[in-house]
Amino acid sequence: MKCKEHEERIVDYLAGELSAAERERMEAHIKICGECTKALEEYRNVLSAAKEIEIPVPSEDYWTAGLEEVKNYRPSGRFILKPVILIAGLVLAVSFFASRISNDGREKTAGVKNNYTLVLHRLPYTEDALLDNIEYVDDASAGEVLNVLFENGNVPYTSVSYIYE
Amino acid sequence: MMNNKTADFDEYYREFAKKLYALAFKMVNNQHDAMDIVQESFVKAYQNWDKFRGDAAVSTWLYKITLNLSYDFLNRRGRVSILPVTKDFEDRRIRGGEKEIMKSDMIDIIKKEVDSLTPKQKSIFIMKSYDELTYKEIAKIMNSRVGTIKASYFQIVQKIKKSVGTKIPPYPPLSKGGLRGDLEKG
Repeated sequence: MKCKEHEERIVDYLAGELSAAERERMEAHIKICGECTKALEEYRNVLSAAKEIEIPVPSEDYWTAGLEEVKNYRPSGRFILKPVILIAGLVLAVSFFASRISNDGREKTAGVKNNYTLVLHRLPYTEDALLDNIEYVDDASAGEVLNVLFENGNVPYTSVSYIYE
Repeated sequence: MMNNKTADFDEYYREFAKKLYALAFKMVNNQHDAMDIVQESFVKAYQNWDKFRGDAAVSTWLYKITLNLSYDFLNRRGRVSILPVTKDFEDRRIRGGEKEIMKSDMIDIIKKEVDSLTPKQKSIFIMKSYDELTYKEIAKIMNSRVGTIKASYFQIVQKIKKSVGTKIPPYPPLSKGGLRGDLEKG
């Protein structure tokens, strides 16, 4: 289209991203520009049609059960130790392996211990870093281990995951 | 008795599970995989709930987890499969007239165009067009700049429009409802 400078604004306009003044200017322009009126209609048709793509929706029962499942989730590993012993074991294992990890890597496989592998992630403790790396935090127990580590200032690692054998 | 963590979490689950399912479904094009991604997202959220409550917007965090899991899934799967035509969709084509068929064709073209986008482009298009998040919100979720998101969204929509235009021109106006900033609503 010739009115190239307006094409991007038309998309912003339909996306509700223009200020009141910009919106007013756009509407005034569209009233006098046949090309932009046509483009607006075409973009609107495409975006309306996109909204009609159907997706299968799980039942309400699924979501009710899903919520309980999330809250009662336990990893499918074969740990038989009680949680407190497990956490204490992990803390010891993290401390042991941490001393053997070089400082230049952001992430190291710390080692294999019984039926799990510890993976440490050396990152600055910021909200963004955690958001970026949240996928590595695999288990509530790991979170508790981290809290202990942070409180004691033992290791410069901000997340830990362990892979079940 | 329900504690605060549980009550807060339940509320967010009820508000966001279906939205995140729709996002995951459109990303991976498979109902069961999308359901797994959403459940896994909430498991991660629940296990770290105390750390994040009151920090960044919970919705941003939830979207981010779901998107990361969707990207991981797509990387593992290697390629994006095309969503099959559903029975309802076929029935609508049979029942409808020329206009309805044209509309169905347009939806089909758009679906294929969306499937051909990169995972990041796809997530921008989905969050903007379906969830109606702002460029700013999307930028925050994707750790990007508002200008980058805005430019990407325009390129994506322009590409889809061109594809529709070359395959079924001209087409009659469709429903005008549902979009922000509808000109005729003033």
